[in-house]
Amino acid sequence: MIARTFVYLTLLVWGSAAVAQGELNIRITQGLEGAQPIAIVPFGQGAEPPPSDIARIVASDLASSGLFTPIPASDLPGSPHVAEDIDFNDWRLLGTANLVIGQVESPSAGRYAVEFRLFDVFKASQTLGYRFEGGGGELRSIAHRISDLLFEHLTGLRGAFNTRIAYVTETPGADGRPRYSLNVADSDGANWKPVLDSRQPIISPAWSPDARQLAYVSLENRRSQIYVQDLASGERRRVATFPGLNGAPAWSPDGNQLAMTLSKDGNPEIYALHLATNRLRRLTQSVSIDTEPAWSPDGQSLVFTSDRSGKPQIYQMPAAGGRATRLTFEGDYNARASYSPDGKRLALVHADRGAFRIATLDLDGNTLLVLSDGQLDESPSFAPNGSMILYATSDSEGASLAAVSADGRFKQRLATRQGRVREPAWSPFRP
Amino acid sequence: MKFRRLFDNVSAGFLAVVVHLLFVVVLILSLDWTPDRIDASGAPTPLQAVVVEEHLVEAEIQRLQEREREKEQDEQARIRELESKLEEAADKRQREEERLAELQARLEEERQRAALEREKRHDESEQLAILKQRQEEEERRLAQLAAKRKAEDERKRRAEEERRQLEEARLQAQEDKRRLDQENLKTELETSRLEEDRRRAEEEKRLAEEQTRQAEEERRQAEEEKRLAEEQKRRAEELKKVAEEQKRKAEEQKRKAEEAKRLAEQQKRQAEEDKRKAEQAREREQAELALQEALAEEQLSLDLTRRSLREKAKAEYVFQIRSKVERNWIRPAGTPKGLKCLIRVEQIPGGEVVGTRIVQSSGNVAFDRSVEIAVNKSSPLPQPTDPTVFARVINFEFDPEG
Amino acid sequence: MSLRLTKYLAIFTAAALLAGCAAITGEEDTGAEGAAVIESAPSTEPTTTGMGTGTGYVGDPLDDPNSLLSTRVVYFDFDRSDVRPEDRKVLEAHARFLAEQPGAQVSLEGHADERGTREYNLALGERRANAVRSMMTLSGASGQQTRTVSYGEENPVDPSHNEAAWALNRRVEIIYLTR
Repeated sequence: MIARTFVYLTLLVWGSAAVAQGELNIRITQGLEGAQPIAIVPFGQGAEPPPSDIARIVASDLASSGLFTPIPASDLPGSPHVAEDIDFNDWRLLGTANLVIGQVESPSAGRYAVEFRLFDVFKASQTLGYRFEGGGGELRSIAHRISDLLFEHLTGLRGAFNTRIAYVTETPGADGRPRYSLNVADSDGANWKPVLDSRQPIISPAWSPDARQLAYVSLENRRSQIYVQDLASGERRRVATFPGLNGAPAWSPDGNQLAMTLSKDGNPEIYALHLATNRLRRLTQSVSIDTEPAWSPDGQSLVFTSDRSGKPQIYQMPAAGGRATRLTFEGDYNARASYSPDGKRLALVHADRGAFRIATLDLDGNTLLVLSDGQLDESPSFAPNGSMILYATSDSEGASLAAVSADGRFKQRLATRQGRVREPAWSPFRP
Repeated sequence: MKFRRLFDNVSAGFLAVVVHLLFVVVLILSLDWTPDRIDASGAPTPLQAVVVEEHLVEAEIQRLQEREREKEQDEQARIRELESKLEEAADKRQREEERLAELQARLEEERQRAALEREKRHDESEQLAILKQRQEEEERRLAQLAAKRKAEDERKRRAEEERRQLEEARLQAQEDKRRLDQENLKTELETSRLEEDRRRAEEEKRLAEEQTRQAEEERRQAEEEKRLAEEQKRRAEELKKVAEEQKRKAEEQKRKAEEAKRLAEQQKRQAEEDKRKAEQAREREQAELALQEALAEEQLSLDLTRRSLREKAKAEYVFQIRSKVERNWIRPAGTPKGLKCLIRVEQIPGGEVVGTRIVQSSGNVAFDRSVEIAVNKSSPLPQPTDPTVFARVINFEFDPEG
Repeated sequence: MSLRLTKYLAIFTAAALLAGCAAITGEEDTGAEGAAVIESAPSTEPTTTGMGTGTGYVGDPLDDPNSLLSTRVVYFDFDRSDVRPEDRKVLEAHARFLAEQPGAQVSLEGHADERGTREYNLALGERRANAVRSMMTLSGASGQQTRTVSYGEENPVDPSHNEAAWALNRRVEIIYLTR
């Protein structure tokens, strides 16, 4: 009798164990690597259509990162502008988790109020929402800020859409002679305006760390000279006009110094100019070409191009000057290096069997990764969040700007105006 | 060409000779004829004999003679002329003959030259033959080369083929490995399940043993009771003895003793009854135990079969879920390697995902988010063929390879 | 061939002179166009006067197409700045001319082809100009008569992207500022 009870008891315990076992463990190892789909519904608008299509700018920004694939508006199952209008079941069928809706209202003439919301379709809940106000001219900037917010929420990385780029264009003038312009544009190439026009070439624009000034080299008056120009006022001052070469300005991270190349002592060498005191320090001593200095983000060291080994290669030295160590050994042309914002990598120009391409050099493993595939790619510049590298490329169709994701997976051409476009530089984050 | 001309010349020469010979023959013939005619004309013709006048005749004769003489002279001149002509002809013939000889000599020479030519031609043809032979050799060599090249090509092609096959084999091997891995995984699952079964069987066995031990215990208790009964009996006997002592001592006590004896007897009977009952119970217990054991054993084997089927269903279930989630997982492009994320997913019968919770974050927002989306996108999750393997909670470990 | 090349170079040099001249005078009208104002060229620049349009070359050895002086461009190999042996005579001739004409001044303008980075090419052009300058100084020209400037890859003669264009663009131009 007791034994029988035992048996039943045992069976009962087994049964409950089976219930407790109702947790399964599954390991997922395979997945398609790619961009996440995101649905961005065209924003609702009042009677007065806003001058910029916010949803389109946001979609284009997110697509440019290579991490998102905006679903074409024509494929969307609806066009809700407020949360109440969303039928989540429809959106679930679309297979996307991310849904962005919003609207633009015009409370008064020329003023706009923009609001947007991000929903998790599967959870049927809002996960992000903001409201902005501004004039018609600020709508693009507002759109880029929305892109930044979405990007940061969805990736955990700071967005760099609301930053700017500087670049030089060469266009034939009315008299047939080329005209050169230094331009500043939104990070997507839109909203550009020239900040300097010249009959003579302009090269090497460099953003100050506060993104308020540009240093550059102008070849006006039959010589190279370095200028620093305030973007707000348009005023510029000449900071270097030494005999011989004045080139390759690079701001120190604290904005107090400009590293530059001068040949006043007979040979192109690297100097650091203290802007407040005009004190000049010579950093290199060699009979070869030393140029294209760039500061590390911590300000402790500089990388530069030198042909002291016979061919141009990248070297690193302490910011105070001193012994330089060679960093590049692959290929016989490596030049114009600049640090990634985290200081772990360099972007540089690497010649690969006659083709000049953009590459990154991992400073930990010293591994070189070629990112671009053009013939004459140059002037690489990291986005301030390190996710992309902007560069100039030229082919039979002309010269234009391109951007490549830092891992080389995603490339795109930037829409810029006509003419030969070159010497791009990506601004730091706006203060 | 040359020969032909030579031949033509020879025949021309020959013709010339023949013509000349003919000429000579005619000449000779004519010479023979002419003197006959002269002779005939030398004799007086009968017609002339009838002439009357002598002086006339004489004159005539003289005239005739003169004419004869003239004629003779003419004839002689002609003969001389003819002779000279003959001589000339002979001369000419001789020249002709000489020319002929010369021609023959030339012909001979020509023949010799032709012979030489033939010889030379023969030599040439020999050379040609050698050349031809050489050419043939060359062709043979080329043919050999071609064959060799063809063989080489064949070899290359075969090598290529082999390489391709190898590559295929490698791919196949990879595929096999992948499948094997999958099977291994399944086998592992199977094994773990078998292990579980084995553990359960052991547990059952242990329980059965426990039961046996329990039965043993009961038996021991029964024996103890029996021992106690015996003890009581002994004590009752002792009491009886005391009672007898008392009886012997006192009547009153005798009655009491009898009473006690009766009591003792009753107790004894009771004890015996108890003992009998205990024995009966023990026997029953043993039978019951045997039955239980048999039952348990049967239950175990039944359970094992049932479980193996269930495990199979479960493995299938896991596979279905995993496939669907993997199909729906888009790993963020460019995320670093080595990211891992644990997510606890709650579902309700029917497979609808009703809750997700990241148990262990990868540290990368985009990666975690992609994991969440993959799970949600897979809702409703696939249903198991065996409802008992349905799991309300699934713990997914997202751990991309490579 | 070499005569043709010489002629070509002479024509080209004349064109370059004209272009350079125009570029200098053109500085004045660049200001106040964009957000920034470009400073006008300093008027002290001893530049355009006396350059003429190349019509009265008779008697002037600089304009004699048969003179070595008519060669005003020397070319370089890729990523090199050493003067080719065949160009030494040209530079010596110019140096002699400068030595005989102490008032004459030249600007040595270094250029590079488009390959490589702009700043490195700017430095390369500078080094090429300096190589020419030191060779002319060694041959008698005074340091005051020669000045150098590098345009890097910014002013190509031939903007095509091919070897022939690059060969023409890797050069130092000898520009007579005063005669």
